[in-house]
Amino acid sequence: MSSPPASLLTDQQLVAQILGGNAAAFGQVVRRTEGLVTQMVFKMIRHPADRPDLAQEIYLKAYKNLAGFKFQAKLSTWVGQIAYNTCLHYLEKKQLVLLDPTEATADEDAPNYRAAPTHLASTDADPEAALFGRDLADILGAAIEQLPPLYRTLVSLYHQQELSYEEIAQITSLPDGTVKNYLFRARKQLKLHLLARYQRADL
Amino acid sequence: MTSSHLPEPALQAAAESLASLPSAQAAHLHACAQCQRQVALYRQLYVAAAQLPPPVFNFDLTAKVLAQLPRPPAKPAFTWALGLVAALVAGVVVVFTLVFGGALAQAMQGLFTVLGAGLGIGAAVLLAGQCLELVAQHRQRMRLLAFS
Repeated sequence: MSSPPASLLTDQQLVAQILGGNAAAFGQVVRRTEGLVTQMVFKMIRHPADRPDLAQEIYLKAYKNLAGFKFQAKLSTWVGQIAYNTCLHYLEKKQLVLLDPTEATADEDAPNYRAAPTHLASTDADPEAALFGRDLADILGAAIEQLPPLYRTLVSLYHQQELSYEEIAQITSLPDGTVKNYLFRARKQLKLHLLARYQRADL
Repeated sequence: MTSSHLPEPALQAAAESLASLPSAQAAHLHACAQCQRQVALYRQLYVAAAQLPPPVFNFDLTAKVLAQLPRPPAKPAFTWALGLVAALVAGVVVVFTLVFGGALAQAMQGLFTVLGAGLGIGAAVLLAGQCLELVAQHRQRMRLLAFS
């Protein structure tokens, strides 16, 4: 009986094939997780020249440690953990920060809910309509790039990779509440950035 | 309608799913145009974020990774040859044992006798040494007791 194509294999079957000596099957692991890993590397590492080596290092680490994968999470989540830790290690080595401590504590109304800012409350303009006709993707992309690396990463994992809070918490080893809190702050910064752009353009 | 507008976390939550809002906040949102605009803005932000083009490397990551994987140990080209050599060696051993088995057994028997005697003498020497040591320790203790 012929075995199913690699793209249809479950995590367990794929890992069993690789550990059984079929190194080519690891290509399927790369293809399944490439989007996630690339996203994380691009968001966490600002220096473009370092990204390709880091991405390859992540997969080599995954390959070498595959025998230790215990299926307690999805294979993609496990690879994501390796990606996050490898990027974190790179940042530490370069003495770069993932999130400025003042950023982490600066906000505001995360613990206690508060009403929307008054300057927004007083405007009668419709920001949605105003932004609609502009190149929102460009503005938003630039706004995301201005966020601290950790916020950028969380936004991309949640909104682009469509991971759940729990999966993001597993990847980053951050508590669920912290992930939610950081995402809340990141979105709020993005919204304020968009509104500021809108107001500047409106003058 | 409540006097204060929805807090930011509620606006963000509403943009994801209106069902996540408590009924009082849902009622406020239903009646408040300003909060509706805020929710709409967040919703637009989420949609735009999800549609951003994902970053890609300008090379084939899969091919690069596969090229760097450590190669599995190569299998011997003629596995049947190893089996043949092993069978030949086993055959030689069997023939040797059949031809020279008797002489070999006699030689081994003599060797065992010499080895046994050597081990016995060694054990006796060790035992005698231990006894002398014990006697010496006992005498020293007695001497110390006599002078204390």
